[in-house]
Parts: sequence; structure tokens; C-alpha cells
Amino acid sequence: MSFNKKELIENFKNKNYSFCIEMLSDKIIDNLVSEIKKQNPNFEYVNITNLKNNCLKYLSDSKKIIAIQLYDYMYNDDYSEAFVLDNLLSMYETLYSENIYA
Amino acid sequence: MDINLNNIPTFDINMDLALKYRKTSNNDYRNFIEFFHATFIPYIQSIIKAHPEYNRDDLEKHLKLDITELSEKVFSSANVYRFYLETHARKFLLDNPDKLEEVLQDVKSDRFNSFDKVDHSEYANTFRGLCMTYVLELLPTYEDDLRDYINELPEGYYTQIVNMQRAGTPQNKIWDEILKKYKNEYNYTFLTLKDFSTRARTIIFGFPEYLKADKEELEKYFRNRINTSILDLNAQFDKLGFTKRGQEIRRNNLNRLGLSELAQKLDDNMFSNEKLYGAISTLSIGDLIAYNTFLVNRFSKEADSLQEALFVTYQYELLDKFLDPEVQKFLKFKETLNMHTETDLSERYEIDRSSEYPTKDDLFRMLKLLYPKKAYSALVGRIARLPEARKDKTKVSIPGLIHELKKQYPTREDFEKAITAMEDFYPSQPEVDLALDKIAFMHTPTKLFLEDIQNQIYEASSDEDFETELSKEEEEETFGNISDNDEIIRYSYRPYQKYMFNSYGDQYEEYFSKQFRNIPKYEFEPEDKLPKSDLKEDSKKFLRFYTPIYYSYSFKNDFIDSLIALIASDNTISNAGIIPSNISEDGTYAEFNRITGIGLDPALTSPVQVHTSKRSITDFLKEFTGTSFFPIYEGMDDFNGISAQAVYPFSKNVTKYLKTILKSPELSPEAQRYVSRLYSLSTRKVPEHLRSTTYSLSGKAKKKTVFNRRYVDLDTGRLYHFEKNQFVPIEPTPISTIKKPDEITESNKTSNSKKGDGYEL
Repeated sequence: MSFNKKELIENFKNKNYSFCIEMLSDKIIDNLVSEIKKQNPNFEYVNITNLKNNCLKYLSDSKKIIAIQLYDYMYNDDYSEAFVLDNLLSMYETLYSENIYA
Repeated sequence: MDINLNNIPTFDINMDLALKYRKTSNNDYRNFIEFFHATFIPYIQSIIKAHPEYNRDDLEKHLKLDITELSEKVFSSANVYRFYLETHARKFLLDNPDKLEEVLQDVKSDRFNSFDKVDHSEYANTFRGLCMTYVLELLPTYEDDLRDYINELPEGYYTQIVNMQRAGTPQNKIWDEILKKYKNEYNYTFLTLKDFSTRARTIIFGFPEYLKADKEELEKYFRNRINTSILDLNAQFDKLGFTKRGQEIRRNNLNRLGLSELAQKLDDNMFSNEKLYGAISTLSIGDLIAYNTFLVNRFSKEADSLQEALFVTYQYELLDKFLDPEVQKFLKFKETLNMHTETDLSERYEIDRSSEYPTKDDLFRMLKLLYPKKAYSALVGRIARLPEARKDKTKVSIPGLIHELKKQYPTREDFEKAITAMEDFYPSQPEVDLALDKIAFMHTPTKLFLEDIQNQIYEASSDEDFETELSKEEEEETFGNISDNDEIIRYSYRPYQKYMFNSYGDQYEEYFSKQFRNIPKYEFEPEDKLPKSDLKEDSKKFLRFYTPIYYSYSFKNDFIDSLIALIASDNTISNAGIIPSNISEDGTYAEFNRITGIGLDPALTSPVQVHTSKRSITDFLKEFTGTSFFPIYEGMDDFNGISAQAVYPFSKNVTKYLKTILKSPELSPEAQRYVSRLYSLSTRKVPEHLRSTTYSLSGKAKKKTVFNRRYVDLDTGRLYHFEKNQFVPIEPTPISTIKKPDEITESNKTSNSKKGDGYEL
């Protein structure tokens, strides 16, 4: 689970939060998909609702929460970009640390 | 029923998240105050007026029932999209025989031979899964009906069909011959031609024919269902004061454009539910979907405020105060005052209330304005300062207005009592902020709980397998007067209360007691005088108020998918699509915000716009159409700053009025564009300024008739036109020839709206 940190930082500096959010979301989704695949090799990403349901079915509590929040951020326009970005970073950190110590 | 999500964030993490959310949220104290006075208090007043005998408990029970009813209506109205997607699943399978064949193979395989296997598989909540579930549902009835149909055909017909099929006769030819035979041989008393046709065609053409008939049935059902949904939500909007609030916002917006007469016409365009039923019956399915979407989406925004108002009411025990005779006297006075002064003044003198009074709530404004010492002079002075009042004295008699006020004017003593009562019941900013902190704190765990409940319902193979654990008390107190709805499964709030209390009980109480103590008003108050921070009670109330909001959001994927299906397959709404945040200077690429808009121009008094992520649009689009091409919504800037409020179908009067002012030289260019767009919605025609000029061979301009839609490939952002059945990349416009925005009148304009600039639901 790694990505172009330089690109992320560059865009963050330029306040291109939408880009950073998209980038982090993609990475988090990739991670959740590969976690589900360990339990169900037939699983392929189709949409975020389906991903959330499969996370609820197969993954640990902390990843379930990440999936629910991610779904919320995809559909709910109440959150500011800064808030979403901040939380996506925390989510990414959680997934990253779980992967390292798993 | 056990809560599965045991490992949810700790108190500290959750509080941190809540405070972060509050800090960046738009829902601040001022929005709350505005809603509390303009919408919530009138709603409470309407209940008290209708039930003057109510005591505190009666009022509380009434509110609970209202919220439960609201939850049900929102659930049903949001659930309506599932039926629409099901009609698309049928259409998709009919239009794509190869996909139908694939699905038939899938559902017959061991992996997916029951609903459960599909619903709980990797296809859950996908369009493919919907198609599979549908085919699984239809196959057994098809097989049963097929057997009956064979037996019900007149003797010899089935044998003849089979013989022809064996001989390799094409299906259409078999049908022609069989129909001819039936017409010659029978007088239609045995089976009507329609019944014969249903049976014979199903036998000849097989499952797709059955599917087609089922699709038609579902389309009829869907139409009734969405009509009911619109009427139900409209009634809820009226009851809760959302419609009135919408009218006020629109009036302010239109006054700003110098369109106060239009605002009045639109206010007069309101429909009672009986009349609305007639008005929506002429709308297309696309219009109805747009309408329902406006209502569900608008609801989710208003309900946030309603939830906050209800929570604050309970937090500061305001129910008693609402019923207090002194407060009642005051509120009635305020109502009269509003009726005779504020409203009249706003309408007749076109006062923009929002800019006149940017922050303070109207209640205290009114008090200040009318405080006995300065009341008359202040009011007279204020009216005299208005230029319109001097210009047009025929519209209102100022002495008459004062006379009216005088009649209603309370004594100084009344005022003092009322102020004391109001100050007491009216929470100050730090108090409201603390209540909003509590609300934000409960957001995440409540969502997790509701998600978990939904998942348990979903995973249960039948309704009976899901244990609701409703206590008798809950059944009686909350659901007693609500009609049964078999789509709704009720469940207990107790597991949530227990879970919240076990997780955060002491910390929650300690934290908020300390926070309340920091408010000067409570500094020296004894412990029992502090506002209560009983987590069990707070969480129960929050969950009740939050439930309708959750439903409106949890189905958002369905309604977004429905809108995409509608836009991708239905031409009745000519201008609909995604709203970019920016388009490159050469006109070839589009950019999008984190949350982007989908806009639609239905035959309603406002376009409809919803927000979602680009990814959610792309995901469904790829499944539904196999591509990531989606139209651009054009002319977003025409509605700049005018939000969708109190939306209804057009009456003839409004359309007629729009036509008369369409070319009025008195309108500003901004107002002219708005009127032109609104008129185009009423006539279902794309306005001229969004069309492109076509040229004759001689080079002379012909009439503007072409609405040349732009499409975006959402994967790349590249813009296209659709020509001769294919997507053709738009050629870059040479930078030197790009016109300034003011000059763009003849061709499609670049939509350049940032989220928040345009109208929002």
C-alpha cells in the first residue's frame, strides 16, 4: 500500500484537496478490496455501496468503520474538503499500520 | 440483538472527530437560530394551536409520533428508487439478450441459485446483482404461468407451435400464423384476443416476453408509487414548515433580482395535496423522479436543522416553556406582528430581510425595535427611510399600519414578562454550541449502529429472523398511531442506549458537566440545575431524530443511480448531466470537485440539483452503460444564487406571466437569464441562449435550433460531442479567439460554477 507521496504533497501544498482526496480514497479502496479478496477471491470492486457491504461482512471492526465513513464521504456534501482529507489521512494511517503489524 | 461494532472509536477519538466536524461544518449557531425561529417555533405553535388542551407530555408524545411518521414517509419515499432501478433492470435485460443469457446462466448455477446467495455475494448492491435477483424472482412464476398458459390455449395450438419450433420456423412467423389461425377460428369468447396473445406470445417468445409484460406492470406500479411519495413528502413539508421557509428564501432571492412579482406568482403557484395530485399526473417519469429527488434531498438538509432544534428543545427542557401562558402570549403577539409588519414590509417594500438583518434572530430584533420607549418612533422612522414608501404611498397606509400595531401592542408589563420568559427559554450561543457538540459527538456511533441494524436486516433471510427486541413501552409510545407499512421493519433503541452508555457513560457526563459549568450563567448553579447530560436519554433522543435523516442518506446511492439511469436512457429531460467545477480555457477538459453536482431541468418551477462524488457516478455508469461518458449540465450560471425552494409543477398563470416578462427591458441581464430559463422549464424547451447557431451553406446565420450537448469522459475529463452515433473529441478553441463570458451568447457556454456558487438543494 504505497503511492506517490511526492505528488500528494505537491497537490496538498497547492491546496488541490479534491485531487488529494481522490488519490487517498483510491488507495483506501484498493486496500479494502485486497482485504476482502483474501476472504472471497471472486470479489471485484463495482461500487462503494457494494464495497461497504462486503467490508461489513468480511472485515474487522476498524475496517468496517473506515468503509462506512468512506461511503458517507462519497455521498454526503455536508463535510468540508479539509475535514474529509484529514480523516482520510487517519484512515490511511490505520490501514497502513494494521498492514505492517498484521 | 448484539451490536457487532464493539471496537468503535473511544470517547476521546470520537469527541475529537466531533469537534473537528463542528469546526469545519456549515451548520453553525446562526443557521440554527434562523431555523429555530423561522420554522421550528411556528411548527410547535401549529401543534399547540390545534391542541390547546395539551400538557407537556401530550406535546412530547405528539412530537414523537410526528418524527416516527416522518421516518416512515422518508423511508418509503427514498425506497421508491429501488423500484425505478428494477424497471431499468428489466429494460437492460430486454435490450441486451446476451446479458440476459449470462444472468440466466448465473442464477441457475450452484453459486447463485437463491436470492440469499446473490444478496450476500460479491454482487450485493450492484446493478448486476439487481438483475440477478429479479430474474430469480421471476423465473418460478414464469415457469408456473407457462404451464398454465399451455393448458389454457385452445386445443391443438400448443402442438402446432412446438411443431413449428422444431421445424426451425422463426418466432415472428410462428406468431403471425398462430394469430391468424385464432382470428379465423374463434369468436374471442373463449379467450379474449389480449389473453390469447399473452399466452401464445409467452410460449413462442419465451422468458423475454414474460419479462416485457412484467416490466410494463412494474412501470405502472412505479408511477403510482412515486406519485404517493411526492404527495406524502409534500404534506410533510407543509406540516413542518419547510415549504414556508422555502418560499421566504426564494422571495429574498428573487427580490434581489428585482423579480418580486414573480416571487408572488410562484407563491400563488402552491398546490394543496388534492390539486397537486392532478398537477403531477401530467408529468413525465423523468419529471417525477426529479421532483421526488428534490423533496428527499431537500428534506435531508432541513431535517438536520429539525433534529438540532428538537435536541436543543429537550436539552434545555423547552417543552414546558413553549406551553407557558406568558410565552404563548408572546409568541402569538410575535406571530401577529410578523403577519402585519415584517411580511407586509418585506413584500411591499421589497426588503431583503437577510441583508437587512444579517445575523441577529428576528425575535430579538423585533423586541428591540418595538421596545415601548422607542417603539413607534423607531418604526415610523424605519418605514420613512425606505425609498419605496415615499414613491408609492397607495400600497400601504403607514398610519393604518401603526393603528394595526397599536391594537396588538402589549403593555410594558407584558413585554417585560415576555422578555424574561423568552430569555429563559431561549438558549444562548454557548449553550446551543454545546448542544450541537453533543449532536456531532453522537453522529458517528449512531451511523454505525444504524448501518449495523440495516446489515442485520439485510443478512436475515426473512423478516422473522430479525429480532426487533421492541419493548411494549416502545411499541406503545412511538408506534401506536402509525399505520402499518410492510416495507418497514421496526427495531428497539435500547441496544444502542446500552452500548453508548457502556462505552462512554461517565466520560460523556463528566465532559459536558464541565463544559456547562464554564458558561457564566451556570457557574454557581447547583449540580441539579445544570442542563442534563444523561447519555442514555440523550442518545435515545438523538437516534430518534436522526433516523429519518439516515434513511434519506442511506438511499442516496439508489437515487443517484436512478438519476444516472434516467439521464443515460431517457430523453424527456433535455438538459441534464454533471456540473464541472471548471472547464479548461480551450474547452476540451472538465474538472470536478470532491462532491460534484448533477443537474436536471424538469418541468418544475426550479431545476433540481443533487451532489455526489464523481466516483459514485462513474461506478454506476460503467455498470449501466459500459462507458464513462456522461452529459454536461449546461447553463448552470443562469441560476447563480437562486436555490431550489418550494418547488411545484407550473400553473398556467405562472407560465403566462413568465412569457409576458420574458423580453421586458426593465429586467437586468441576470434576471432576464433567470426568467428565460424558468420559462424554458415550463415549456420543456431548451432556451435560445443555450443553443448553438447553425449556418446555411452560404454562411448566413439560420435560426438557433441546435442544443449541442457536451459529454465528458469521467475517467479522463476529456470533453466530447456526440455525432453520428459516436463520441467525437471537441476540438480545442484557439485561446486568442475565446470570448469573454459576457460575449458568449450564441453558443454553449462554459459552465464554470464552483460548488456553493450555484443553486443548491
